[in-house]
Amino acid sequence: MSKKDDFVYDILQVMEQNNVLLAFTGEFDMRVINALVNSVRGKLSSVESNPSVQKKVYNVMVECLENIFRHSAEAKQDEVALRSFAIFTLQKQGNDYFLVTGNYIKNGSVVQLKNMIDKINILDKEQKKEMYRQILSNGEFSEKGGAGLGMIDIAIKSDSRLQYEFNEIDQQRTFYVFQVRIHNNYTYSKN
Amino acid sequence: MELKAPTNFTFDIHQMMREHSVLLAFTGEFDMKIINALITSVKMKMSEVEPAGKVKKKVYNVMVECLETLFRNYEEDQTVSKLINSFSVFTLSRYKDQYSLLSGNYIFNENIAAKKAQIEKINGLNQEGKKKYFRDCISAKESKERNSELAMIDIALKSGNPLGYDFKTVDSLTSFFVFQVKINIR
Amino acid sequence: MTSLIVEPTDLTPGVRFLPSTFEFEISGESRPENVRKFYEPVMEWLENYKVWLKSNKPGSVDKLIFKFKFQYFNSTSAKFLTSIIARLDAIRKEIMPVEIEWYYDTPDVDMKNSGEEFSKMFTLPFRFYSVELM
Repeated sequence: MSKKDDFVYDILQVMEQNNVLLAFTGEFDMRVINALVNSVRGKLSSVESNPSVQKKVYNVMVECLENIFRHSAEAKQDEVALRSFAIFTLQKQGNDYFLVTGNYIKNGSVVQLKNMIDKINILDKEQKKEMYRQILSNGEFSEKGGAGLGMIDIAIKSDSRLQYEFNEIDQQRTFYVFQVRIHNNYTYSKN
Repeated sequence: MELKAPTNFTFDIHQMMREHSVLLAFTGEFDMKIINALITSVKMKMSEVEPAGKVKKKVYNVMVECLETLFRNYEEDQTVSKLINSFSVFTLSRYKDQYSLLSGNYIFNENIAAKKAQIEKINGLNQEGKKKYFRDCISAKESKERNSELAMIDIALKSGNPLGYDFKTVDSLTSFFVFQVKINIR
Repeated sequence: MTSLIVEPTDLTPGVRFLPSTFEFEISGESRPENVRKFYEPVMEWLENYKVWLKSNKPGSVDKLIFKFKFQYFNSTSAKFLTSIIARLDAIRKEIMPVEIEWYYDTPDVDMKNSGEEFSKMFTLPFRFYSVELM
């Protein structure tokens, strides 16, 4: 086996150094998402004792993965040759869970996406809920409407600033990384 | 405190994946659901990138066996001791002339010799020898060792190339076993 | 003798054993989570059928044809398929002629080879059919 093929060991080390519980890269569609989500549900119940946190991580994960799926569906409609390759990682650091997604978007979508996240980040909890209700009652179930709703839903559940990074790859595409933090400070009482 | 680290590292992972032409990868603890997620994903991907039905099927078949073996390896070691790290890795890459499937999992050092012998034995057989060995394995009485042997000879037959392997020492008890299968495209 | 009908799923094949019309077919994908649990009832059915045939030899057909139409089966399934074919071979030796029709997608060379391997392990006749994408 050649030296370069050993890179799986390098991947392993990077993952372990970063406390990654799980990472998946490839094509995402609803069946893949369902299967991943089912697996994480099982794993979470063994690594996380607080059911509120379990639920949050699980719910946010579904939204994040569906966002990836929506982005690639959008791109396919526009016939932009985006690589449909996407990454999802779940990390645990201390009392925090980090869900990170990485996927390709068109350069033209960057500004709108950045603005939406920035806008959401400055709202307080009540304002976020108000925004959520607004989007719902607008009845706009277009792809874009869906993404806005998903994003605000994630923001409400996470209760932390949403983080992002845009890495321009070439004249058409950007690799967009999106991070959600879920902090385990929820009280849980066993009755 | 705002942690920038996770977002940075995701882009690094992305770069590593690009560098090695990775189509699909998973790291973590394998279970049947994850295996299904990967298989579903590869079916989609293969339909997109691989028009030739024969290669598409080969990659799919070999991948199922690799993933199920990974899962079985972990299970086997677990019944012996809870000491083994269940974190495993699987990647599928497409180069110009071949597909490369790589799997990695922790293994007890005491099991290395047997694993190495098993792979070398299979690599040393010619095509007829491999087919005979396969028939022996399917008719043999069921056992854990036999199941892994069967999976491995099945992979070897379908791949048509020698099986690759490496053992990276981790500590006095365990190593990381990397297993590679190559499938020619043409 | 009752029929055995199992609907296919993503992971398990469809089974249609209809003794009244002599239609016998296993088709689809085989990588069950619990392979033994899936195939044991199939093997048990074949055992029962063999016993039933001894006292109910059919007059309308002179041989039984079992059709295998797999997209994929994993190596653990292969073991159970071996047992199934062995039971068919036993029926052929003790009761009446049995033949196997082995179907595969035209580009699926591995599936064709698998069938050929099985045919080498047993004496019952195999006929091979390549189909343009089943």
